[in-house]
Amino acid sequence: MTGGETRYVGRPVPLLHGEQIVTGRRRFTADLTLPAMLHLAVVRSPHAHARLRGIDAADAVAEAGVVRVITGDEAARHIPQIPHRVDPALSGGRHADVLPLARTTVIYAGQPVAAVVAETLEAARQAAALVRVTYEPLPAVLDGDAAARPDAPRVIAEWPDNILHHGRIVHGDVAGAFASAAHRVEATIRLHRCSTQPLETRAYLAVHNAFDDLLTLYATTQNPHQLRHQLAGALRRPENRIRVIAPPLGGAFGLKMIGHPEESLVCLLAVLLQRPVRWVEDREECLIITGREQTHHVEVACRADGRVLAFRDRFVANVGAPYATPGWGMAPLTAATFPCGYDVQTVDIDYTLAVTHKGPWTASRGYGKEASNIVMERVMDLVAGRVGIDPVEVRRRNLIAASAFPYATATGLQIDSGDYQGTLAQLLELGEYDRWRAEQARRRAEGRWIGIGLACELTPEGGSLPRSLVAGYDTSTVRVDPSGEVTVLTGVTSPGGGNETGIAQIVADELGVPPWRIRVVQGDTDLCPYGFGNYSGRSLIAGGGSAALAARDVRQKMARVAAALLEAPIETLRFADGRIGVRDDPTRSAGFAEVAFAVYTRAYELAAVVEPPLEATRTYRPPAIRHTPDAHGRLNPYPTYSNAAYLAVAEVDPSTAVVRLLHFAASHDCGEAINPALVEGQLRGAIAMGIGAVLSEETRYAPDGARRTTSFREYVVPRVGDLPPIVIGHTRTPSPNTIFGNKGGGEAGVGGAAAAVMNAVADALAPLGVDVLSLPLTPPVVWRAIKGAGR
Amino acid sequence: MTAPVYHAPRSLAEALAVLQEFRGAGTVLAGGQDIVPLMNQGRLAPTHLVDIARLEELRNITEDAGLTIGALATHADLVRHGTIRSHLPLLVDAVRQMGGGLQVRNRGTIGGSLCAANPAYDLPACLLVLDAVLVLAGAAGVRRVSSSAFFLGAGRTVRRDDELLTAIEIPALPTGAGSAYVKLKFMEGGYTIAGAACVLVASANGTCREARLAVSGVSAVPRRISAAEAVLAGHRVTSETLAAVSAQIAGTITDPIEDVMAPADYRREMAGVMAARAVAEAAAR
Repeated sequence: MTGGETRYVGRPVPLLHGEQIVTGRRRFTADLTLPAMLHLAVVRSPHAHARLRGIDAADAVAEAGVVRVITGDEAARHIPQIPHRVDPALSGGRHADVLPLARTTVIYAGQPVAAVVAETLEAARQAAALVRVTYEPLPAVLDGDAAARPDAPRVIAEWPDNILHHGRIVHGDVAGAFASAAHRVEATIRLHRCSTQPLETRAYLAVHNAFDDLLTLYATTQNPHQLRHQLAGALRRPENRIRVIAPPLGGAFGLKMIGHPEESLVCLLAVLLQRPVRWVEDREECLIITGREQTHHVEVACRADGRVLAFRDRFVANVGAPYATPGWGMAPLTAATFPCGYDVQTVDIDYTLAVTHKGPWTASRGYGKEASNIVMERVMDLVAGRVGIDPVEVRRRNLIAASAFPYATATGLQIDSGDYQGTLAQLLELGEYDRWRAEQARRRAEGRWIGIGLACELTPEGGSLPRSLVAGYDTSTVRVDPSGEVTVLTGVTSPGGGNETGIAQIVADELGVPPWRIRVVQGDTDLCPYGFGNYSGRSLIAGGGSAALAARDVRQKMARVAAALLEAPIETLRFADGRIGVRDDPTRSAGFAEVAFAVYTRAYELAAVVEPPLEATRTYRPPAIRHTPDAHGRLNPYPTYSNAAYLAVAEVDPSTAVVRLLHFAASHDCGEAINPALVEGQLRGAIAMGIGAVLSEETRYAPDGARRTTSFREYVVPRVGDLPPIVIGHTRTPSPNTIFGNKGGGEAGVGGAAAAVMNAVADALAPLGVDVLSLPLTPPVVWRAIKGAGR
Repeated sequence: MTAPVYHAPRSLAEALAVLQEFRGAGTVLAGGQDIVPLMNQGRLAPTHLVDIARLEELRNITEDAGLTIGALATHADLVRHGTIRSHLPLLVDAVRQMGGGLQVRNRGTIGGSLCAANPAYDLPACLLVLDAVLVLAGAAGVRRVSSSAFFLGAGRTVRRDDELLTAIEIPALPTGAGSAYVKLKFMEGGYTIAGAACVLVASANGTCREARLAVSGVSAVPRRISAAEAVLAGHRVTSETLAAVSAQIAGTITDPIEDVMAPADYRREMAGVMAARAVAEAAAR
């Protein structure tokens, strides 16, 4: 028997269920209703920091249709605390108890303080507005650097300071490198607070079946099995008495990782009331939870030719109020992914995670890696400026050479493969770099402010954290029915990006059936093998890999039976077009379904050579992840490292300071793409996210910590007409650590696009003497910077 | 919470009778682009909703010496209308720069856009420079109100709660008139930071015989800036006069709206920038 034939892998197969999406018929969690379902509304604190003096729910309870009002004390009797997805205390940080509803103090605006359950959503919301909470406002600590100071007021009263986590990575002779350097470049780079805003907000629907004591939660979640584990801890129920079902998602981007208080609240109330309870987040609520905001004090030592000798960074991340989702973990990964794709072995990176009274961080696409890329790329341009070379040249001189892979970085990462010079070269051609430089010179002579920004990007993918349920491996079951229909049950889930289509392509090639005939089942803890869901661009690495292995096992069984049926040596068989036939002899073949039926029905004669049923469960555990520390105490959490390069051309309107993007190009290397159309879709979305983060999106607060971005009116997300034409090219360096040579493709683009746009704006304003070191670059911010430059 | 009583009158007389009956409690629903989102957000809880969508006679656009636009004409109706496209391009500019896409254009009405009196909306400033007259029908009869007297504040107009805005009368523009509406917003989905509407009437010698200029988005009500109009009258449109217009606008708007999107000083300067652009655009038409 030969291996599967590549007919669908590598092709732009249209999204399975795509027609449901474009015709508006896809059903999401908020579309689900159950008989006798109740609706939950959450009462939230308007204050960033306040003592809770009392809650009077009498008017709310008296409202028609209201079934129950619950406050912090009662909730805590059932849910003493929400377990952290990844507790910072496990890696030397601090633990904070996170409650479903506040009891004595609130520590961020938007924090839940009570929940109202009613017969209708309108009644629940109306009653929520009638819950009278008496607050005693307290001073709020909003600035990360201020919060990190020892004398700052505490966010968590029991802590000795506001430091959630602190770490330092040192490698090489840093002092020596700075002493011998021709140039030393210093900068303070500030990244602002923003969020991800999927079109589908979060929603949870819980129902408890008392007959077999099974609690079922339908949830917009990226991690159904781990949510089950977490709910077991929160609700103190056996894990096997909980079923989590994740219906199709309309975008996730990290927001739908687990640990949100509404998850366990909805479950608790469904159990207490013995009726289904649903909560659907509105946009105002979706804007509470945030990500990013950090200040980097960077120093670089370099030679006269721009070769970087050492990189030093001291940064403080403002992670907001402690929260149970894994958002805080972004900042340590920012540190661990420096100095990105550059060959710099001497580093000193010191990072501090400060808690404040701003909205908590949750995971946000890029998961900290976007921040390291933005900082590094801005710094490379500063180096180029200092030594007087082109931004292309400084990158060429510092990128890791193609011959150096696998490459061990100063922070301990093991980069599997890549051709960074090749990716950059393709970008320059694709993006018409030389032509745009000439165009820039011409337009500058006309008095126009036009800039070109470059960025290289390293995106580690498929990550895994030691001693946590954040795994690098995953598991799939492939099943063929007696009628020959193929079902894949997998532990990875889809955020809406289409990995089920990629998995179907892989299994289709192994079994010789078309992908649209294959049913892929995801996101049900009672149906699917134990798996870890969706994060870190892992789905086709681990999910696709395990599905391939399982499909091969099933194919092997079918081949043995087909060999007996066709009286042909097993090596001569091929699986194609729904048939199993003898290679080079079209007269001898059997239908795929016929062979499947034989496996089930002829178990005592023809098919006795194999064990029924036609089903196999396999796990793919990518190699190269290292959870045992090396001599320097460093780990390698990732099996694959995609890379990319970006070019942005920006023009700044001298009157309004509005930045308009004239051109955008990307060259992307995620190894062998399983489905290039889906990869490009991911990349375009990520680029749009990066552009929005720089030019318009910002989570803002009043001086007292009250929220100032509560709708899309204030939190401005780019729409399709705001985006420039995006030209995309691919280079392909296969990963040695995956079955198909693919690398993760879910996160690249956010940091790279943000950095390219930031560099383009900096380039446009350079003749004016404006330093561009802070994000965002919204028009009023740029306008003030231009005024400040004293034109 | 109680659901509103829904009324769907089939004639203007019936609509006015309903408004009269529930005086003070009737909320007029036209295209629903303001009212429905406010209701969904729980910020508006009408007791009586008077849906005037069936009053087809209020959707007509008729031409005589000038133009009479029915209050229920949608934004899309304006953009489709031949005379508006050829003679009142500022209205087309305004609709094209509205946020919300086709849904808002197809559902939103000119009357709703005026009665909402939202400082961020675009059509009010346009009507000011067109010297438009708003026709208000009430049980006691019809009255005509100048567009410059219609707006009282953010969300407030002279329309009494038993009246309906039925039509907008736009006098014919003098020959040689050009018009434009220009606005600044951040991203397609953003709200108005500052906008400016201009009608410019050229004389034979190329100077401005008449200039009308209004700004939106910077104050609670849209306003004509006569001092800036005076800068243009009798002069050619040059970079110097445009700079003078900008400076005059920025100098006149002393207390602009300040919000999370834009600080006051930025918005003030942008009103001047938009005005200069509207003038230049109108001059080119």
